[in-house]
Amino acid sequence: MTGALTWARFSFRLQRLEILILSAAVLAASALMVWWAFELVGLSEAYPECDFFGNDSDFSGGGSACQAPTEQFFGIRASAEMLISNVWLAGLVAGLVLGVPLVAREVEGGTAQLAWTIGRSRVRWFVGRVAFAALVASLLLAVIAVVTEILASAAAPGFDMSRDFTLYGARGPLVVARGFLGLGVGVVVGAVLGRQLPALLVGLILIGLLYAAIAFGMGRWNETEGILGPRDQNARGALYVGAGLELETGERISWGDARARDLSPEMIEGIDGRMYASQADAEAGRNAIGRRYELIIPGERYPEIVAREAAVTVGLGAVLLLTALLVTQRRRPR
Amino acid sequence: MGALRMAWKLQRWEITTLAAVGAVLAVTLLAVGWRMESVQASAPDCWQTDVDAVLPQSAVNECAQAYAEHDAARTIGSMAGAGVVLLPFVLGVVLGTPVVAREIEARTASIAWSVSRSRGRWLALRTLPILAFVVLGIAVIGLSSLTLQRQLTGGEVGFGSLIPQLPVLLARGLLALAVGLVAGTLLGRTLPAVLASAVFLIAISIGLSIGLDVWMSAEAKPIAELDGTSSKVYNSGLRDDATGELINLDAFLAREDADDMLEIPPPGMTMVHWQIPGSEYPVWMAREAGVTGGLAIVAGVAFVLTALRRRP
Repeated sequence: MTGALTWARFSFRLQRLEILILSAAVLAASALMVWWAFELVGLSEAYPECDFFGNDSDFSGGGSACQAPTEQFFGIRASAEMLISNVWLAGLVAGLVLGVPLVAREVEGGTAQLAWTIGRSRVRWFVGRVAFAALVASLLLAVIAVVTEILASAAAPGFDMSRDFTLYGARGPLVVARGFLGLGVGVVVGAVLGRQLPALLVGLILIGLLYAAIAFGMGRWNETEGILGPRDQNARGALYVGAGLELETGERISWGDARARDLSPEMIEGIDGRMYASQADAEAGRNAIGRRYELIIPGERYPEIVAREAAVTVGLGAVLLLTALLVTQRRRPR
Repeated sequence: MGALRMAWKLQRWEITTLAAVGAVLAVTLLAVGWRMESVQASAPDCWQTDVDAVLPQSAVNECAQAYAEHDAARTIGSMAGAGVVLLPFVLGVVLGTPVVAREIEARTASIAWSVSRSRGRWLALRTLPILAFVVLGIAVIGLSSLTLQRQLTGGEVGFGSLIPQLPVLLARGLLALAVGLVAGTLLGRTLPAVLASAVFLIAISIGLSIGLDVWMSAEAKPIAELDGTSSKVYNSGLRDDATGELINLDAFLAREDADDMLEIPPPGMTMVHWQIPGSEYPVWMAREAGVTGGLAIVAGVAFVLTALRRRP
């Protein structure tokens, strides 16, 4: 117990400024989000007759009494969504900022030799430092993950957000998972460069590339599992993974392929939902080209898809941390 | 020359990384801008402003291809445009924070400050080359983005512009530099100073944005025509043609007789929009640059005062 306390106190002292600034930012953002959540819940409970999202099939509009609360609700909701939409950055940045100095500061400050020789082994030293940074990042980001979930639920009263892809990736466990990716990138770049600020810059670029690669890869993976969405309505809470044109032969092609095949670029949708080359064809209902289709992943699969992406992200972060360990083991302390 | 060499030796890693990022961004901006221009030039009929003109089928197909190529370039251009907006902040913070913080962190400040003739001279020699680099970097990026900017806005100067004008970019860069210098001096640690500067600049940017919005909405005028995407519209309403009386659209729709009206605006009234016309965009850019530049001067003075009094 004493050993753990000493380890925590020592690790905190080495990174206290970063931890305090990150904590203050997390606290401020969380307080704002909780306040918005209270406001939104308060409005939905105070004006149940207004039915902000039209859940009630007998909704009659609520009259002019609903105009002000509706405007207020959607005003707060727009601000909340803007903040949540940018929160995905928090995980990456927090991980990076905590990861970069772990090795780089010791090398830059010329204290690496001392730190690595007084410890029982370099691996032990590395694991101790990374474990604390990972713990702090997880705790801070867990707060953000929980608060974003609360706010997202408050912004969509009556909907089960645990089965809904709205604001996918910007709330919940993925925020924490990205912290591990940021931490991995930060530690490995810091260990290689041995300079904090350049490592931060290179880390930001690397994180951007890795994030884009993960988003692209997961997008393609999700696309292979997409099912045909309902044609006549929006699939509430679903993740849209593809769209295109289903030809009369049953063949499905993307809009890019439709253009490449020189199908009319200005297709017109007839009242029967089919696409026609001209207004005359649409009115006569002849020579239909096909109909639009959308591929979706239904909201019920939200937990599974989130868990999958989180596993990939954390896995990549773990690989980067292992790489950083190898680099640190072989690195000269100057 | 000696100051430049010293600045380079002390910050070569950051300068090299930022120069590389800036070079990639500048080349991307120029390439995408020229690409969009050449696509337009190769099929000028596709961008004609006469909406009633009917194109033959062959031209329709050609235009579809041209639009697709133009859109692809626009997507990359929009991302590069976001880079232009971010770069002044990154340049200022990354180059500003280590000037004093690194000396304090490495415990070399007392030596550096005592071997120099005065601390003021040391500050000037260390800060001015960085200031020159920030200004030069922003100028290069700002000028490289001009062709792209013209393409993204369809040649219209107005509030639909993604990339602000060069004076605003410069003012933001100077503000970020000054904030970075102050944070580095106060905290005496490079990485926490970068983080603190970023948090502070985000807060300032949000505050400035809200403040400017309030200022603009207060000066918005009711004008009948909507000026495309180049104007900034705040509200809509109706003007009584006979009396000139103005009424807010929400207030008008809340009137009991509004539901019975067959058309809006009803006869005898004209729809108006409270807006800042796109023609006033340069004025507002100058105001924003002035306010941001003023804040940069305040932060710069704060830096000099804190750096002169800081214990090494």
